[in-house]
Amino acid sequence: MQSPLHDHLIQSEPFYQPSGQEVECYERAYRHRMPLMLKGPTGCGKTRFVEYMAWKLQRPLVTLACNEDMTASDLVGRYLLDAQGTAWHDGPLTLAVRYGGICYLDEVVEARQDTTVVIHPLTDARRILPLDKKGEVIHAHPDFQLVVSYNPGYQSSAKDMKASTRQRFAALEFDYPDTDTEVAIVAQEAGIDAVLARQLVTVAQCTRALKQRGLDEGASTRVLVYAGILVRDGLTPAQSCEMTLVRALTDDPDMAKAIRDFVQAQFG
Amino acid sequence: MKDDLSAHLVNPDADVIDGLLPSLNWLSSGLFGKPLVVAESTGGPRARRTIITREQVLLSRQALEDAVAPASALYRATVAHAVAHLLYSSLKQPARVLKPMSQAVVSAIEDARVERLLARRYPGVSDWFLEHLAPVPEAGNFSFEALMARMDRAIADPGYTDDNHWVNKARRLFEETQCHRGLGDAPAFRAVASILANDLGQMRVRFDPQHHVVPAPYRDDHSILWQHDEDAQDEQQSIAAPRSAPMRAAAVPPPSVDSAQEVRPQAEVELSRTLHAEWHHRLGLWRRDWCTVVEKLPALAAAKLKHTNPLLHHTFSPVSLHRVRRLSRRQRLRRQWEGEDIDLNAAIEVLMDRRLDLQPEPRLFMRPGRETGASRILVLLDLSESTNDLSVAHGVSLLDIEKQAAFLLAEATLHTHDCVAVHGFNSNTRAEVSYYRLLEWGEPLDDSARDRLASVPARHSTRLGAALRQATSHLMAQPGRHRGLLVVTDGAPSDVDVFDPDYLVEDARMAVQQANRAGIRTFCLAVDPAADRYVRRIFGWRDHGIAADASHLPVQLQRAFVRLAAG
Repeated sequence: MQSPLHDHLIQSEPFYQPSGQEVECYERAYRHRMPLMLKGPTGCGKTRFVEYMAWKLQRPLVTLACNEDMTASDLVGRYLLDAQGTAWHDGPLTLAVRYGGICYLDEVVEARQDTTVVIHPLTDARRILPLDKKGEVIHAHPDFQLVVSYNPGYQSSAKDMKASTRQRFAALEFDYPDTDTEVAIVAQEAGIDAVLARQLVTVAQCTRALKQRGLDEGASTRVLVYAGILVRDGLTPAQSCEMTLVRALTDDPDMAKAIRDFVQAQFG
Repeated sequence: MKDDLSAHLVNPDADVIDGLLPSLNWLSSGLFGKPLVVAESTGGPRARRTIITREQVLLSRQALEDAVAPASALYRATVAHAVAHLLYSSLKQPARVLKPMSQAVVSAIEDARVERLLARRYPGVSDWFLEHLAPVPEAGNFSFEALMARMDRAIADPGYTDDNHWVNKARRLFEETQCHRGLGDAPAFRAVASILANDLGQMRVRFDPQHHVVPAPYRDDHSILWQHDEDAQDEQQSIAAPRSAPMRAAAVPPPSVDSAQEVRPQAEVELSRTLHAEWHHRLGLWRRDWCTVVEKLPALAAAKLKHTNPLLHHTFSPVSLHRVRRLSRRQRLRRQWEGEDIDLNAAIEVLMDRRLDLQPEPRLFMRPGRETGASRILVLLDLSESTNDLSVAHGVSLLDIEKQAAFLLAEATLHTHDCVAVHGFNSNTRAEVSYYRLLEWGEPLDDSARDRLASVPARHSTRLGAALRQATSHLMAQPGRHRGLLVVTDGAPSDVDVFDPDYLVEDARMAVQQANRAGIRTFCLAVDPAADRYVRRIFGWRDHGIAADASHLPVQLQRAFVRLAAG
């Protein structure tokens, strides 16, 4: 019988350009099924990295984007009504625990703290998931691993992770790659030449200098890829950057003008 | 865009520069890669060109009169030129060894060199510079300024042709040096400039250092490049540019003297005295009962006059606060389409409907509802002497802007469940840390509240830690779980009886940690471009914001408030 996680297997290799020792570090952590926390600004490649590692390790990847409305039931499962009465339906976390996948909780601090505590028994030596409503205790599959990501610089109402949750994870810190690596990534992902990619990266570096001085975050590698794709498709760099950088990064007209000037300083 | 120049010429008071400053500040920091403040120079009519310092670009309003393009384009080029110098020039070289004319030529060649270097990183800026070069002088004009203007254009514009031998020699030497030595080799370019200056001497070209102005209006006055001796002899010889700096200092308006202060105010009303401990970071010990915090109400007699000050009311537009929403377990929403749990009553009805062959009601889940408001935020204003300084760009003191921003915030919260108090502090040694209670929790903004806010003076120093502890004690007496302390300051903690610059910073850091441990969130807004070095240390890497310009304060204060209120 096909595993319920078969659809979660990643079939083709996702493009990922390592910028350090992170691949080796992840492999070593996975050898011990150690829970991992990926930290870094938005759009710097955290999610892509997990996809790449899941593909490399040939494990199904169950991804969940956390939000403040998410409850413990959304993770572990709930009873639903059917013709015979109530029936238990496993949540995504439970599926990964039962059948041995990598469960990736994206932006985990967005979830409420009473939701995140359900991962505690999974992330210590016990490796169990008690389903109290069902009266079942699931012992995690030997291949199961939990990975969470969060953006420590996020300037909204985000709360910090509780120390009791935080200390259950080994952490890998991500940042925007160095200039040459980022140029290679943008060129490859957007299908543009390195000269244009380098110009886009320089614009992004200007915006990153404004972090906490008007911008919550500078332009991410992801938006540079978007900008490159639109240029490849026929827009001028100025039009493309207007859509993907200027308008996307800010609503403030003065800040928009400053970003537009960065674009013009690069593309004339 | 042409309009803003013409508006300026028709009406000299039109505030062209003010409107451009926010985006120029961001442009400068983005291009430079680190904070670089852009402000307007107050150097008077003699400051014909922009002045650059290591931290600031002071724009000249007079440069606009020499420009043919709109102000926004001119100052954009000015900012890029300043960034080029700060990134690539050797600053403050000794000027004594050069004659004034050589200095002017070396500076012009240096301008061209750093602009080309900047254009390698930002190719689009070449057009910005080209657009604002001085117009080509008449054919028969062989004055120093005319030759320099032609040389600037010959080097910057490959399409320009000139019939003057010296100009063409300058272009050829510049290109050859770039080709053989590279743009990074500043001494090689300086040697080229010396040759060119020597040629001008041979040509008997007259140079008047007293009246020399750099031809291109977007370029700076070169005072950043040279270190001049301060003795009188050298000053006589030096070109006009370096004099800008002392002139600028003299032109800064005196600290604000409000008409209210001329009237002798009634005495302040003392409410209480509290002793607080202070942390000595070197000895690692608490000094018990070290600081005396005196709670006061400001003298109201002065207020009546200040109250008429229009600045206090309508400079900034009112702020609107987003309603903060939090999930609450106390409110359970029943009969929902989806949710965490099954609503048992609804489930029973579904089963009954099924047996009766009726269409069951699909809404049978429960989920937690939302709770709103009830945050308690204390806004703590720095009332030290430095907040009296007038903002270069706006002619209003930071104190006034602080007060307006706090007032607008309090006004905005009147329509929400949140509650705001506004307090202020300053210090005159540890024996007297004055703590002013300007607006109490949820107090209506009537005339007496306005007067109190308007009349509080700014003086003395900033003993932040003691004030933070006092504010924390007020917040702890407030009910509710969402309590926050929002500090607005303009400089590092300091006091006249403290000589170790780290002492009060470390004490304030301990005070913030104490507040956080008591469940009070803290956030600091610093109106000081150089605040990085201390606010981060005191409030942590995330709980601070830096406003490069005081005019950003109301908006940033509102954002900080929403952030704190969200818990």
